[in-house]
Amino acid sequence: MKFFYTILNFLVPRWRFFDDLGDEVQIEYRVRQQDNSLWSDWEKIPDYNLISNFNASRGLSRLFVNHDENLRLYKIGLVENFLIEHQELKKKNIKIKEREKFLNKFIFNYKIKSLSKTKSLTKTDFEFKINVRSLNKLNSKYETIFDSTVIEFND
Amino acid sequence: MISLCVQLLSFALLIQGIEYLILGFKYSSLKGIFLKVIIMIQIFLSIYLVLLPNENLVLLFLVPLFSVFIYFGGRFNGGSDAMITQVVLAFTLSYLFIEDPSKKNQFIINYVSVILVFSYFVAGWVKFKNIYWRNGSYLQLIVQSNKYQIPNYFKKLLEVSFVSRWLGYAILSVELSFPIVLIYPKLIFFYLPMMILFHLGVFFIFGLNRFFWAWLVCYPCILVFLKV
Repeated sequence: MKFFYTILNFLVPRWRFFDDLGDEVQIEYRVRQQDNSLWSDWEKIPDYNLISNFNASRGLSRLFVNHDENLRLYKIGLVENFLIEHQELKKKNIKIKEREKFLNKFIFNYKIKSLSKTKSLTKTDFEFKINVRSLNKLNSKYETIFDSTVIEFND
Repeated sequence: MISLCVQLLSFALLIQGIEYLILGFKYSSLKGIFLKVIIMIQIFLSIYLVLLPNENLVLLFLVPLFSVFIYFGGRFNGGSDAMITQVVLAFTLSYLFIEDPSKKNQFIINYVSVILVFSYFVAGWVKFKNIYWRNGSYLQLIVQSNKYQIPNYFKKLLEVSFVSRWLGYAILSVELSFPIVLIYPKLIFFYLPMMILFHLGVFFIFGLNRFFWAWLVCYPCILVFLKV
């Protein structure tokens, strides 16, 4: 059944481009050493917190290869899809392991591995939260709508 | 024209493959032999079909397309991946179920053309249902969010309500009225340049490069379909 659903998702297109303003997503993370109970301050992950001042022009070469922007949009889509499923399944009290696995892959692995290049992060706990601000409401503020479980990093 | 469609499709998949390959080497979370092998298959097949277009081999693209879909837990690039999949599906269905070569080509042309017209109309219709598109404020609001990395000069331009309102109405009108080419085929010579400009605009403002190539693949088919 799951395979059939996957095939269906793969084959059936959805042409709902820019149909809704949607939400603005922000992700914050923090870390702590496992032998130390103090958490670091929350820090924002830049992929989800764009610098509003984008002075560079979008060169024609990016029409051909634009991997970084496409990856960033994928990550935003991943979180948006995750939140949709999260809110649906929360009502039914079901945990969404599948999407969480992907989120961990792209948020935890990506972030923690890039951090571990500069800091010693053996035996570290990692936690992230997702904040959302609706673009459909004027002056709406960010609200935390997902808190991850503590993820242990033992590399 | 079918050969041109195969070449454009292969070119679109070649540049997608290059993007995945760069990402696979650049980011630790995307490193892994699976992605690289699949992407190398896509790249070699794309190069081969750009140089020697063969519609019977297009269905092989389903393997990397589906593998990437599984790997990323869904579409990597939303609608543009969906359009590419639809075109590959047209070639696959014609290969599997139609024997007569001329009927095969006609099926591909019909399928891709219907999908193209449908995609523009549905995209226009869902926009029309949104109040912000109808009152002309959508573009102004979206440039103020941090969803897309929009160059400053476009931001400033779209913050002028007159510009964003009329640009929004122009997008709505062109997308919603696209099916009129089925009644007046000659109008395609007005619509295709407009849509090319539209996709270029989407790229320059929002950075969505893959949409340009994915829709360009379909244009040779609709020209044959409309017999212009």
